Amino acid sequence: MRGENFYRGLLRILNEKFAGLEFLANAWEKTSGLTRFSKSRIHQNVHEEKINLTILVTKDNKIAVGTTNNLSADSLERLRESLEEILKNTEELGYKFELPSPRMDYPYERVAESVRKATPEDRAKIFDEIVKVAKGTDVYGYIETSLDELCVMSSNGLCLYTCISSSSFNTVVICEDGSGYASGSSWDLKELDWEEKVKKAVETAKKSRKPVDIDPGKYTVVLSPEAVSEIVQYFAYFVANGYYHETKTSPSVKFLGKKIGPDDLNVIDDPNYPGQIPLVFDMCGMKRESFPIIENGVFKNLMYAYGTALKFSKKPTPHTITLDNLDVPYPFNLVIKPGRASLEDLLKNVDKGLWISRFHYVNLVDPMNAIFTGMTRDGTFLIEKGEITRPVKNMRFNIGFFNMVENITGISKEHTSVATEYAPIIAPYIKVEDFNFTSKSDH
Amino acid sequence: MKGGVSVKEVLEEVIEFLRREKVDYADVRYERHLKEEIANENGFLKTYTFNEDQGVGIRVLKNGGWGFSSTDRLSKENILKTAKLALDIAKTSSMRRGEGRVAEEPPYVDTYKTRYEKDPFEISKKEKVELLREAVAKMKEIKGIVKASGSLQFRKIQKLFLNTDGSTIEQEIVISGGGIEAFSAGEEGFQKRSYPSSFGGDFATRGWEFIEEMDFVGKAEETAQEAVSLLSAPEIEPGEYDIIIGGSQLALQIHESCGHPSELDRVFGSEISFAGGSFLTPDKLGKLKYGSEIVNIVADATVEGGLGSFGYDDEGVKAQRSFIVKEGIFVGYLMDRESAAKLGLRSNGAGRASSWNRIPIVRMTNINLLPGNMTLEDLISGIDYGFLLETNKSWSIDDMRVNFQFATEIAYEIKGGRLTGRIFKNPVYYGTTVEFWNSCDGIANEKYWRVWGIPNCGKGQPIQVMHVGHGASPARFRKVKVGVAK
Repeated sequence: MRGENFYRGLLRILNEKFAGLEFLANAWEKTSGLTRFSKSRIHQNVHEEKINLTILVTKDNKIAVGTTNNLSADSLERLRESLEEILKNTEELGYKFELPSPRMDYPYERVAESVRKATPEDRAKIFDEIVKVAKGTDVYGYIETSLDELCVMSSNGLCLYTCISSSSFNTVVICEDGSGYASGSSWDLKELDWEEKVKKAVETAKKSRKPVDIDPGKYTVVLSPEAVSEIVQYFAYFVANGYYHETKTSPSVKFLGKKIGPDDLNVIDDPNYPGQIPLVFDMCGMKRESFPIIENGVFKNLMYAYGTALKFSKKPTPHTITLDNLDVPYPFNLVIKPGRASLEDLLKNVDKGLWISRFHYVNLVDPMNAIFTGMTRDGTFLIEKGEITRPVKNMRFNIGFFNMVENITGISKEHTSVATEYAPIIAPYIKVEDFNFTSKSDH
Repeated sequence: MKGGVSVKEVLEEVIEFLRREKVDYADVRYERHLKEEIANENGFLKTYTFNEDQGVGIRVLKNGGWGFSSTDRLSKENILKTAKLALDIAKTSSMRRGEGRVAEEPPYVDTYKTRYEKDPFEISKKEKVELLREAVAKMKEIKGIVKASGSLQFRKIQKLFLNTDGSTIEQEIVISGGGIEAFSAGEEGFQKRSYPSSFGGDFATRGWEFIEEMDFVGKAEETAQEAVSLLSAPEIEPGEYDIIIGGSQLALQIHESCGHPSELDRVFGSEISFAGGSFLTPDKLGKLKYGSEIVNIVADATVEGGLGSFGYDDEGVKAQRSFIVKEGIFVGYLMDRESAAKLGLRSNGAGRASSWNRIPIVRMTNINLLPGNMTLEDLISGIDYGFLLETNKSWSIDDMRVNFQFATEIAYEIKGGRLTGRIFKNPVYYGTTVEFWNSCDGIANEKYWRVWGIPNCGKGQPIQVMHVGHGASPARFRKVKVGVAK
């Protein structure tokens, strides 16, 4: 951790080395450790420290972007030369570019000592505990601790600094031919909720042994938070995306502003939601606060990355994820808000349905109709007459997102954090009618 | 490096230090990556980026436990500190039933450089920008095209590798790639055609000449015209059909249903919590009838220009060619030194790391379906009614690599052994791996064969994005399920 002063000093150096050019820069340093285990043994155990400086320079309505992790004077001078050469050899943009407005704010630090001081041994001890909890089964997964420092700076006076800690884990528990899954994230390693979750995964693994073959078709499903987060994440990226909307390659052109789901369906991007690991500004320095994407069942807002907003005369939203491509928005702190139902409520009245623990390899089949495909894994069960009865073999679904949300008939009160590659997603259980399974696998 | 000490000298010192610590095995890599990316949209430059990234990664095996630490702070003091941390991590791992070991490998002192005619980093920025602008503008001129785009990407990767076996290997890998895309839109939605392949185009370990050969400007009009025609095209009635899969789509089919399941670390469970496992358990080795007798698949890191080609992998194993499937029988895995040791075998050079800050894990090199003996016309003439499917649009496969589903950009109708000229939009085909490859009854010959580059294969935690290649020519498959009930 280099601290805010280091980045203020870096801004002074950039002002000197890039004098005569306007610039917007992101400096991001990550110091992380990740312990991975397989068959109840630690098989990969890594540590990384790396800084990335990305700088966008602009002149005469042209832009060029460079990235380096070498902050020496020589390296920055070489980078400037490369970027000037790009500017010299390229034409003007097709829209009027300007740097984001300068903004000052207090530095935001949320660093847990448990993460700042985390050692490989600390992660290994959690692994030891997971093995104990899952006694009699095999466990596979990871535990990660990470410290991220980010500073957004510009030649016109932007200088925002944040430092956040995070920890996350996932575990697949395997018991004969059954499996279960758990994941979670927290800013504080001490609050990482692995124990109860792994216990549940062990239970799922044991219950999912000897799965039976059933025919694909339309079923009522109860989706776990893991499964819900996977689908909604894809929706947010592909459908609530201002760039795809403006280029008319998204079903948002049909559905934006419309009621698409039940009143208690609320999808937000909110860094301050309990359980989130907050990113308080985006890569253009825009302040991030609660941002509704679906509100009371209405498809309310699209995310506009900075370049898309300039290009299409829209207001940018705080979702610019990279300076390399100013058309890419991302909801860093996605939350699917809890509803009112208990898990029992979701199960009751299901005559014949499926309980889905997790999806695998979800992908977009038809962008214009937001049709997604993917497989079930790590615990798929038949629900009969309101009760979870038997494990079933994995199946492939093909589902239109808007059909799916139209068919939501329950959202649970219970909700939890799900670990993803970036920040966690907070999600509840959701019950959906007529979920379309189209083929099956052999396990 | 400060103080007049070269990186190589510091890395030698690291190896000496780790030898003194009596490690089972250790390696150290310095890598420097240069990357240039250019994108054009609707005739206007969208982005031009230049990236430089360098650092050192140190991997240690001690008493059966692995440790890895990496840094981009390249002072001698910090690199030695990083080595100590890697050693400490290895000790921690060893106390958790660490049973890591590496297969034997001779030491190499060697250098390797990608062979190319024109260094892409020596080509003027203006020429690159102009090429894209012209191709994209040509597509945008076509009536009905709402968006046209193109991109180029160039990479130069310099690596210095040393290990406790005594190897010192220097490599320079150069990658060039790019592609163009045209989008049409109407009340029916939108359609897209890409050339020569989707998701960024095609990539190779070659120079600027690879870009010139793809002739984006010459192909722009045809690509855009097809995107417009697709808009009003019908969809295929769901059912079972005989199909021919074109080379670029077949490359992805090979990737997902042959490459990944044959990664031995997946078989042993290394990836279960993330990318998944594999149905290719060791009891199937030498026995499973993976495909029909004409199906021959090799892992070949030596094929010139392949995106997965190199001189040595990131564990100091020489690039090689080995069979995965021979005459339809599953005969071999992709292996790194650790997974090979578990089967009492030698690595076949598939231990690769995406950069200095990642450990080598089992990755594809160039996984190639060897050419058959038919012409494309022969393949088509053997179909009474079916389709030729081309260019990937979507992919998904289950965690054990059994049930797959692919969508392609376009299907060309075949009737009575001939292409009819009719095209179909939104084709989707699906099946299970072994059944699918056993239904292959024709593969086009070497005239149609090409190594396709896939630059974005994801695996591992932390994630590693790797560049791999797939040699393929169009191939015919019988009674494949096409179309999905919506």
